[in-house]
Amino acid sequence: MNKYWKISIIIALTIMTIGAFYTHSAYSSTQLPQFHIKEERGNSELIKNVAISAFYMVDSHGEGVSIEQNKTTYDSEKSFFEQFNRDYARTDSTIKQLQKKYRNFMRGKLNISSFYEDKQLLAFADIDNNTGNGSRSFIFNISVLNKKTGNSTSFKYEIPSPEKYNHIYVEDVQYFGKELKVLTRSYQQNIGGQDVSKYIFDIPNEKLLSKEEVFAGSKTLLEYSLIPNIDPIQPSKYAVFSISEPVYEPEETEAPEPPKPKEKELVVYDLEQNKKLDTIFPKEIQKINTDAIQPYVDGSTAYFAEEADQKVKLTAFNLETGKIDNEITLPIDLKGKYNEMRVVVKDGKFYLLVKNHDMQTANVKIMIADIKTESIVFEGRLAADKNMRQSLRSLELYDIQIK
Amino acid sequence: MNHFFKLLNFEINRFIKIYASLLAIVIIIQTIGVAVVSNSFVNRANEMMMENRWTQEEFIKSNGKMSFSEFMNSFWFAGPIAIAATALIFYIFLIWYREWYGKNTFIYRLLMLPASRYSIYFAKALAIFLMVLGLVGVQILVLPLENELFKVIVPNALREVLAVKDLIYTNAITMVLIPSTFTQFLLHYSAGLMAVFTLFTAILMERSYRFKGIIFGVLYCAAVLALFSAPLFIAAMLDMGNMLYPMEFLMVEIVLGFIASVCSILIGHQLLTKKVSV
Repeated sequence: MNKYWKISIIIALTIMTIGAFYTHSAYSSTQLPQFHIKEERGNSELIKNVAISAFYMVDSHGEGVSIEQNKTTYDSEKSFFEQFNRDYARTDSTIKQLQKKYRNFMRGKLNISSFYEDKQLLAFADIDNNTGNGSRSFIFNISVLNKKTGNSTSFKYEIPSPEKYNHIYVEDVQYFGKELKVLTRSYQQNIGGQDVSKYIFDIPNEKLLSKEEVFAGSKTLLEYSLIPNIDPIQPSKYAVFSISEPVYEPEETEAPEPPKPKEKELVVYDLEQNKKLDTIFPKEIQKINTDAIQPYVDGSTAYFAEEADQKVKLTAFNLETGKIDNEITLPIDLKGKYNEMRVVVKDGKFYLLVKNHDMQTANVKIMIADIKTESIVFEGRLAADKNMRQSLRSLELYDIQIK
Repeated sequence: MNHFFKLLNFEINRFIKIYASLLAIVIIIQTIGVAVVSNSFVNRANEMMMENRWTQEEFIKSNGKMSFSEFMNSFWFAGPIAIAATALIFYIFLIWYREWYGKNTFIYRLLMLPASRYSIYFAKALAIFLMVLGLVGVQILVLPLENELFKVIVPNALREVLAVKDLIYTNAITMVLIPSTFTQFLLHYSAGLMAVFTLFTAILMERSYRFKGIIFGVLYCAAVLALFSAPLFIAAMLDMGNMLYPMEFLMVEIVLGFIASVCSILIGHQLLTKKVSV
């Protein structure tokens, strides 16, 4: 046996080190801070389904992290299969769920704005931008799945005169009767401005019924931005656009100043009736800086949030009646100079995540408000197990997800 | 089995001196590297604090703390790994050619052995594989020790504390050599083993058909590469980039890799029994 000692050492060394590396906690445990959500008041049941996704960055080290009530998961701690799938699904839980339910239909379909789902069907419309290699074409790929029968139809439609466009993408897909309506944004060749157009497809006959310019940005040189839906795939009758003068960012901005609120106008477009509504938004909503906190549309309600004097005010505006349904003010009450916010509205609740910081302090606060009763139902803070201030400062918040 | 193990032992022993030197190079150069990189940081910090009359805090504010990954991103860390890797890749060829070009043509005796030709083939493959894993093992072993050395040299206030695992996750080389999950580890090293089998087959083709064999060998390597990357090319050509789910793609690659490996082994064995000329 003595003559085998060299090979024995190599085998033992390999098994022990590699084995230890993948099993022993000295190697597998992280020294990165562990976060949890500390409840301050309210119902802690509400925070159970909340996950904050963020990026943790200290000097040379940076990785994605997901924080739940009592659990911190860094990307490197996830299993290989989770890491492998993540890039594909782009953490979009809606797409992940659809992939589970309709595995074959969902093949190769990723763009969340391109989906529409109701009780009967799941529809998808996207545009292939082929602009390389001298050739130029923009082709609609349309597929509709009947959820009951499992049958799907799909067809293509090539947009005429492709030389006019630089690129075109889908902003929203809706379905009324037998008509699939697709809102697109097209960037023109050579001239500035973007056109918002609506394509209506007859699904049973697999053909284009009509194309209409909703807003001709290439002529007016105004910016038309669509306020996103809370759930981008659910049926939604109204599309709300914010119209403003384009702002050209001055070059060489050393210290990034908060962007000034733009002069703008809000317009409601009824996708079912194919016309603009004459809903008039009150002045106080028109002047809200929508670049600071993302507004959302949910059915016939639009939610606008605004920060002022360490308070965040949420306004629920009814698009049909043109009246303000609910208003609620959440006090932030933190000392830091800067506030970064993420908001989500889900199931009648308003979720607010604030990172408040300056040279001296760093705090991350999370608040949940019930919109109907206009009351705060949960308030809490993010806490770290070590180096609290430094750890919170190193956390770049992405968004909040409600399961 | 006994024959195989004896052959494996024989293969390891034949290379053990050079192999031990490679390990020594990795350990010594990396240790020196930690000392050099850490010391130069500390010296720079001291100089700057003297010149500008800075306190430690002011220095950190303008220069940041030092992290062990600074060493891991330097040539001191990557260099010796590259040397060892190159040597082992070179030895994939040498492990066969030394049988023909030694003092005496050893391949005679090797082929006269009553052992199955598979034993000869797998002993050589496993010897290479084991030495690669041993190298990785040594790296896993010395990395925490190097980290300790770094902690000794750089004062607490000037350094950033990161766990070994977090360090490995941020470095491009270690992410390939010691990926963070065991599944990935298996995938990386199975792919490596497949590459070894492919090269072995190409070498045996050259040994069997000499000059013509070189062409066969190159073509064979290209064929394996084409097979392995076929799912990517086919998807790109048919313009259906995401038609396969990631898991399906992985499964296809594993199956293709398995097919390629089995082909390589069978062809290699066939050549070794029937065709190889002494």
